[in-house]
Amino acid sequence: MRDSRLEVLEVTGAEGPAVTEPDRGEDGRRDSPPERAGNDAWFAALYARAYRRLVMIALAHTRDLAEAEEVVQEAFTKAYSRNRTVRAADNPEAWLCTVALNLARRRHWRQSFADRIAGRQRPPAPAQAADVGAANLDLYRAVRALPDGQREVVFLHHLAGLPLQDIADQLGVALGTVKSRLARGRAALAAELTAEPADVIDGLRPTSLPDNKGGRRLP
Amino acid sequence: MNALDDQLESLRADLDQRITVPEFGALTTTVSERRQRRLGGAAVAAGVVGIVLAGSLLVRVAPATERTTSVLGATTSPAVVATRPIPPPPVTLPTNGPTTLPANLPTTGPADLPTTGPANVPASIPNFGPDKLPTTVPAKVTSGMPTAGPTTGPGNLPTSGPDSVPTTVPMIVPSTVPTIGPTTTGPAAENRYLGTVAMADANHGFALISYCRPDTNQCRQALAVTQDGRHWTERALPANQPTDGASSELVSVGPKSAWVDIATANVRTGYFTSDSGLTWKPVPGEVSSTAEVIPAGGVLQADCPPGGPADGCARSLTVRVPGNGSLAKLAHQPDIAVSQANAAPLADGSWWVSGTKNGRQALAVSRDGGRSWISSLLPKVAGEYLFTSPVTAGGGRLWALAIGQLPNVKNGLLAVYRSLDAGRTWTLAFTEKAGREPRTALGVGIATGRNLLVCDEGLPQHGWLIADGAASFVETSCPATGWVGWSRAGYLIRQEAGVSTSADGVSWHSAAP
Repeated sequence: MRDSRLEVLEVTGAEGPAVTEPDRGEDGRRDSPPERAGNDAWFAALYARAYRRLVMIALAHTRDLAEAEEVVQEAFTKAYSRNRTVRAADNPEAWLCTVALNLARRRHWRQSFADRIAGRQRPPAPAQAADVGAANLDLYRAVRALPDGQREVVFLHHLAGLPLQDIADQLGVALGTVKSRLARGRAALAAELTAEPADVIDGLRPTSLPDNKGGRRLP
Repeated sequence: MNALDDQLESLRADLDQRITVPEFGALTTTVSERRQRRLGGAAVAAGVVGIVLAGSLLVRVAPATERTTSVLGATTSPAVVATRPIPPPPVTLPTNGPTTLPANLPTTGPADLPTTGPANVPASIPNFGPDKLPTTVPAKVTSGMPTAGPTTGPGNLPTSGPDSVPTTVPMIVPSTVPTIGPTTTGPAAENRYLGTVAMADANHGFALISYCRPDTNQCRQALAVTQDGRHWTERALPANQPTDGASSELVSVGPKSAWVDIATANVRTGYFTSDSGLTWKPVPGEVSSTAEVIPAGGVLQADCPPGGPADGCARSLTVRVPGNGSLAKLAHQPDIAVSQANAAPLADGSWWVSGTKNGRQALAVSRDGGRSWISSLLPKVAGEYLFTSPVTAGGGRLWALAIGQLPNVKNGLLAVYRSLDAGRTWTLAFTEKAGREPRTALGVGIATGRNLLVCDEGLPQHGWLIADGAASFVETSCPATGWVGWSRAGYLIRQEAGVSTSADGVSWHSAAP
């Protein structure tokens, strides 16, 4: 557990569209073995199809990839334990996406709440080097530094590859809102990146910088 | 805006490549496990925090929301955490699965961090804030280094610390090969230098010692032998004619076996011992056989064929054979042009070599003792590339350093490669840039848990640590000053007058040959 003091503060929040008792195979019935097998195959396909994209989506709100992966696995576990709800859904991926986003947001909220009551100052979501290579690190940091709304849209559109209309549906906002958030986010990124060209484009280092700080004496 | 799109796409591909998709089976197992547990767990109302004492059974009921940590790590996510003997759930974590520990390492730069940080940073750095970073503890050394190295001792006998005074063994054992040079070369003071150190394991090893006269630069050489990793005994080498400088080579191929190559006037002769340097036999210099596998104790080398040009040659992998010290060509060569080889296997038994493939930097690994090799390309690195350091491993990560030419420094560090998937793919954890430290690296990177420690040149015991998940290196200390190698005794740092070894990069053992 990240912070045991928070246990009492945990209220069972809305975690997904179909809120039933967690883990209760809905209506309490258990699948028969053949049913289970077919179900597993269906879920395996969904899993293979959607896992990576969902991680990208969750990443918009988690600190790093590892946490995003955790969130998505949790979402799948929920989905699996409520398989009839998910299979009956019009778009199982969207269902999963909502669950993953809610889980990720809630973690984010819990973390910042814990920080606040502990009076802790934390640098805002530092981009973890483990997530990306050095060539992409500056951009990754810039994306992560965007305001929540813009960051979400950039992640969903550019990293998870969702069409704008799907994003609007997913987030429950108008298409125009998505577009304007995306435009503002991109403008901020472009401004951020052109400010420090040497940091961004790997291999295009200025060649004549004085090297006195890093240089070590030759023995 | 096109450039931005390209960069976003590059970022997407980079992230995508790092996502590990665990087996789907792990997920279903976890869920079934939970169901079983719930059925067997009697009447448990989710969302209730409390302690139910029933007979001798102590059952703690956790809130439903507590189950939001690592789901596939079934051990942390049961609805009921009980002290009664519930069979432990199967651990279904994938090898490179998500990790929960170092989620929020402080990356706020060196200002908040101890500047003289420890070399033994624990694998799991505490969760919150820099205030909990480990304090400034020096590297843990299990056996103290003798303080004053015997570099300038009067006379020519080793006068090192108490650790290295042999108890019963005579200081110099006459070898069966007639020794030509006299053992006393005159009254002039000689400086004692520690040369190559070759360890067969943590307790057995050999070291070359040279005694050089500062006025003539004539050196004679001796061999130091240890059988316990602490006490070193000096033995004579079969040909210890004084030479101009010291240029012998030494390879250990077993606890009591070693091969030395002694350069006299203009002849190099190889000798082999199988009794810790008491007796020696000459060994032919050329490749004499073919080895199907790397034998136990064998040492892998990337050698130019004898007689070929010294550099720019097509190197091939050879093995120093334990039985007789001869050189055998490895029958199965990797499909890369080899330039460097890990002399010893990693802890998991894998052998790594580096080189180039189609002009790209590449690594190759054999997990079956050299029978077959798998190669993987390394990410492109700008700059004047010299070679890739041997591969080291720790905390589920593999590391290699790109060494190249940087202005004004020796052993320039161009980049740090990291692999999270056992070497299938490699990414850049660090790239060189003017003003970005570290600029140099001495030998291999030391994997401490999930972090990597790089010792650099310049100040004594100075190094840099890139913490798992951090974006840059922070300044720290190294356990010793010297070239860091990977050997059968683990990490090996050869210092001016001593040697430090460590199997895990965290606890170090020092001795002075």
